[in-house]
Amino acid sequence: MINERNLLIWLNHLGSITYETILSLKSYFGKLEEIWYTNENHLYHALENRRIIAEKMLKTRNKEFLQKIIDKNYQKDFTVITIEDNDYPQRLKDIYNPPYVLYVKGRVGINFPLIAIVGARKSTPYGRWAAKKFAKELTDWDIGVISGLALGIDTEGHKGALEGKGYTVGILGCGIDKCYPKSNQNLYKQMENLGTIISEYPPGVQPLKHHFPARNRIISGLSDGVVVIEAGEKSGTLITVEHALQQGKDVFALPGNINNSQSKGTNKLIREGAKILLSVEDIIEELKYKYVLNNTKEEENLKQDLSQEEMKVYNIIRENPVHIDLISYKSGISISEVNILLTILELKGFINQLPGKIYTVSK
Amino acid sequence: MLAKVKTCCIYGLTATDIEVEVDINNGLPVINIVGLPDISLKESKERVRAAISNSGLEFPLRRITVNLAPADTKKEGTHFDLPITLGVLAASGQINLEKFSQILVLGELSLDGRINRVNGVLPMLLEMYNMGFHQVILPKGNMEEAKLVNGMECIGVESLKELVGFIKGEIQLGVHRNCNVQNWKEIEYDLDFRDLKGQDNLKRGLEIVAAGCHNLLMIGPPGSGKTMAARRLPSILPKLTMDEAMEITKIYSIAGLLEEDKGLITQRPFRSPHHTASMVALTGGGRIPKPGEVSLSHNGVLFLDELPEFTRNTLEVLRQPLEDGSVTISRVSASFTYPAKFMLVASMNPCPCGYFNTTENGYSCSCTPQQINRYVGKVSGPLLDRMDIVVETTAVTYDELISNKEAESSAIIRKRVEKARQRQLERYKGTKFTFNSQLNSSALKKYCILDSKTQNLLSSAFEKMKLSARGYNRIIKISRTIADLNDSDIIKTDHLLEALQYRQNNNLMWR
Repeated sequence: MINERNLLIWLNHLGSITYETILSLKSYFGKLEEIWYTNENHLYHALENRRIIAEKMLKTRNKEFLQKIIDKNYQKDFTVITIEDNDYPQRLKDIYNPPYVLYVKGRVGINFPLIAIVGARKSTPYGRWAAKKFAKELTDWDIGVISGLALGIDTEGHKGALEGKGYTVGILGCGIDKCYPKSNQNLYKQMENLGTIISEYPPGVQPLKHHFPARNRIISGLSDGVVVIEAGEKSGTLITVEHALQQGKDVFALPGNINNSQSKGTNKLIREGAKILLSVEDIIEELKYKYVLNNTKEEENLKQDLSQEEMKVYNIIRENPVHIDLISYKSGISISEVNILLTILELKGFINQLPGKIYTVSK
Repeated sequence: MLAKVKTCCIYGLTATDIEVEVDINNGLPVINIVGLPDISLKESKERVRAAISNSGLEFPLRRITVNLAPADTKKEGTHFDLPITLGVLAASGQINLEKFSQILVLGELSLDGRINRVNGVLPMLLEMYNMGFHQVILPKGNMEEAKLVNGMECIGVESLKELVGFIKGEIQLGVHRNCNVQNWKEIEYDLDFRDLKGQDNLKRGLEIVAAGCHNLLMIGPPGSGKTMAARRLPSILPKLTMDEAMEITKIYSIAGLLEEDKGLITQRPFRSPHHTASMVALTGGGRIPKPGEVSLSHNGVLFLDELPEFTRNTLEVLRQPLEDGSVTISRVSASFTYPAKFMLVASMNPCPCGYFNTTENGYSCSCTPQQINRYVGKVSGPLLDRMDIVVETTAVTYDELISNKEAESSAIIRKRVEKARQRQLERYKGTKFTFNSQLNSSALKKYCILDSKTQNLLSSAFEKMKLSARGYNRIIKISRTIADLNDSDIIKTDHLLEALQYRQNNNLMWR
């Protein structure tokens, strides 16, 4: 019962103990289990000037209390992952002060591209439209949408992803068993089934004000890039941007009306060097280097529009701009057939001819 | 005494009969040739004098006047030597020509009395036969080509001595009459498309132009097989018909390019003039013009390698022959028309260094845009507009080079081409057309029937690919040829789709 995993859950339950503290305890004692058995003086010495934490630990260092939280944590409707588990998302380990215990509802294990769509709760119709639109378009490329399950932009982002039958992750600022805000009950349920809901707070924890900026580091940490839809000049969203920049993630900002207070933050971000977001391709362009991205929606449309042979030729052209002889050679289709297929593709507008009888996909 | 001998003279591709009148009178020993002879003809008197005395005959030391009637047209050629000699001998009473009053005499003399072959025999005899001359005395070296004239009695002679013996009735000479054309032999080509790896698109393009007699332009980096492919083009060209072979042989006869032991030309000509060729070399020229490269490639291929290296003027003269199928050269005395129905195949690099748009194998173009413009600009728009098919080649990849994929042999391709040409010959029977490429717009409507689906496709392609009116006709003509290659009476969608790939791309960067 006294093992590292359970101790991590216990420490997380106490609150306000960072992963850094845990690492320093680990290096002091050699093994984390030691903190359960060690005497007071040693503990005080290990924690040096963090007396409050030490006192908290001493107060709850009994088997009954531990049993209670362990029981609470092994409920069926959510999973607990600690930083020592294999399921723990690798990309979170790389950030500063990672959460060492995660409570997860829905799908566990994140290994595909995620884009954070964030923005202020107070939003304009333009912002809500854009959030939904981009979220939906990202799902066409098999890219998930991560956000904070808050009102406004966050909600629209999640909704757009669900509408596109894509994957979406929500990070909570309260216990995993709580739905905040209440009006998002429906969305919360849907995401439980189709996506993932994550919280670093133990069940039962209230949505406290300081939790929200903290959870933002997880949003940006899990993502491959942060899209800021709308933000006022002093919006909390800008904290997410801070985290993203520290973690080395791409930041995209949606340009807006210069008179609109909700776009002041994003416009300012653009001025400071964030990537301007004009179409979903702007995001794809950056992610291309990290992942093999295919527009699955487009793929489906293609399959409807193109015959098998046309598809074969199109796929060869899609890899690289290529000369007509090489198309015939690679596909094994005779040159006169290839000529026919190329004209069809050209007329359908899928490919373009470059000088030198080289073909490339249009767009 | 007066003597008359019949001969003829060539003007362009036609000939007129000429009477050589020789009169010998008392006076200072001299020969005068009148009747507008040119230099080569004037010199003839020296050859005549030497040949007569070196053949054991007597050259009359009196005043000799030679008149070439009709006296108002200019005459040219060395084949007047023999008729003048016979005239001199007859006028001096050494031979009697009464029996030979309607026989044509042609031939050039050596000083020792041998009779040398002359140029233009075939077209002259064809014309003369129609005018009613049925017997000819001519150099033995010209016999093979003379035999092609059906019904003509040809007497081949080797020396003046032999001829005099024949006229006197001392020697019998073989008289050839109505000789059948020699058997058409299967021509063996030493270059075969089998040796050309990769370049499938270029090969298909060449197959189409060979079938429909279209013009083709190849653009590609050095070493991409352009010249190699063009040199193999004759091996897939269809066999000549008798009429075509006669036309070619006539032209070659005038140009003096016939080989002695071969009569009829049975192989389609493939001419590839060097890019230093002058305007006159291409069209033909001279006071009485000789055929140039465009006529020498009649019914065959004119291959211009490195097109932009030709001077612009030289290239511009190609426009009329390409349009009319003949070339007309005007002189003060007359204008001469030679046939010039050739297939133009040209090759060029996309830029001076040759590697524009080539990225494979680490090549890259080092030319400035101005250089490229200047280079490409040498080929004028109107000429480019007459190129039915444009094929852009790329360097062959190593994979293709070593691949075991068997390339088609020329014989297989030629079979398809011949079939397609046969279809065209049957379709255009009784019209002035022979090939799809010659169709004009009214003939297009008649012979190139598109079904409604194909018509719709063409109209949308017209919009999307921004075709010009000429380009539109060109596409239909090529579709017609592709349909012929596929043995189809109507042009189907697939044929049109393939043809569209061979169009000139308007928005090519090099243009």
